[in-house]
Amino acid sequence: MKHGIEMFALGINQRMINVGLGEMSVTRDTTVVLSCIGLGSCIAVCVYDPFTKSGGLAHMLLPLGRKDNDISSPSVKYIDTGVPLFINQVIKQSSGRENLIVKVIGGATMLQVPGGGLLDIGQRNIQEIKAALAKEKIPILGWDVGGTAGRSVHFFLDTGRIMIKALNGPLTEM
Amino acid sequence: MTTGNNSEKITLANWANLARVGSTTAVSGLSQMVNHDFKITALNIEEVSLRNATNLIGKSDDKVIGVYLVFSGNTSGHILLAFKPETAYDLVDMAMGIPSGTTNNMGEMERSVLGEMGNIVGTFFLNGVADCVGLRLMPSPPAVVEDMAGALIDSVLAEAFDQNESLFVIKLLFCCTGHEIEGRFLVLPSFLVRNENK
Repeated sequence: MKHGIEMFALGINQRMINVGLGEMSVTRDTTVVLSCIGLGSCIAVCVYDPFTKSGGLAHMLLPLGRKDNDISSPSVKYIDTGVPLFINQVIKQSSGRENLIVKVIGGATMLQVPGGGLLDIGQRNIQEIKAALAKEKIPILGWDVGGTAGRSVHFFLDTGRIMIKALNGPLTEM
Repeated sequence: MTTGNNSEKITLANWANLARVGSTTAVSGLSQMVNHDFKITALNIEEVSLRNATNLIGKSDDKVIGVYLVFSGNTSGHILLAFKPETAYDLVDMAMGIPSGTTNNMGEMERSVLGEMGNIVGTFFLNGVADCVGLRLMPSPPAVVEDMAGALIDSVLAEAFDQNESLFVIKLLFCCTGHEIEGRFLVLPSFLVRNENK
């Protein structure tokens, strides 16, 4: 079974934007469906303002940036530095911080290698996204994280609906 | 451009030779395990960025079966052996000496066989490289994962990209004469990074 947008009957004017590793997309275009196909230990943060029908999706890779990161080209690769950057971008398109609906998906533990360094990246990402959003004083209203399976995420900007599919799991709406 | 850690500097050209030696040794190990002749069809070292790394083992929503190891010692890195499911099933049949088409899902036995395959290919590769340059490289036990290619590579890259904005990937394609077998073998050595102070 495919996990791309072919799972859904897109409207005539709807189009998918695939948000890649360490990237974000913020828009007021209600024809857009923001997607992450094959999300493993990474975190997808979906933020929606139902009043302006604007929102965004950030595909975050790791919990903490290194202190010597190049801050002249900030990105959402790291959760600690990426969340403020992303939320500020969304707020510019929205009716206000208080109206934002935030949902978080991902953080799977895919690779359980004894002695391997990747054991807890998914869990560390989950902990850090909670902390980063708490720091922004934005509650998390939807939550589908952890486990051992990857997920695909499709975020419909016209309604704020989020559809999630794991490889062998059912298609669920968040 | 050079590659290396603080004490060892290896030029990219030298590393390409090491990759060839390691890959030849790895494919030889696979041939011995399944008792069929495998050959290398393509071997290259690519510099990949986050943006273009997601398709290294196939389209993001393709189902793949991967065997993943980390290695440590004088240096560290990641190894991923990835197949389409049908290919993995064929390899299990070959390794177990049963008729092609017998295996059609991943149970505990099949996972064990593929894990051992990843272990052998990874170890042979590391030994081939280590023997050439006198490094001590030790693989971890393998993890066998069946999932979307995007989810698998996303998890592998998370750690690999922690230190770098781009990295070098040793990408090996191999096939087996007389069988529709094609696999992808990726090595992501942590020490193989761009050195701007050439």
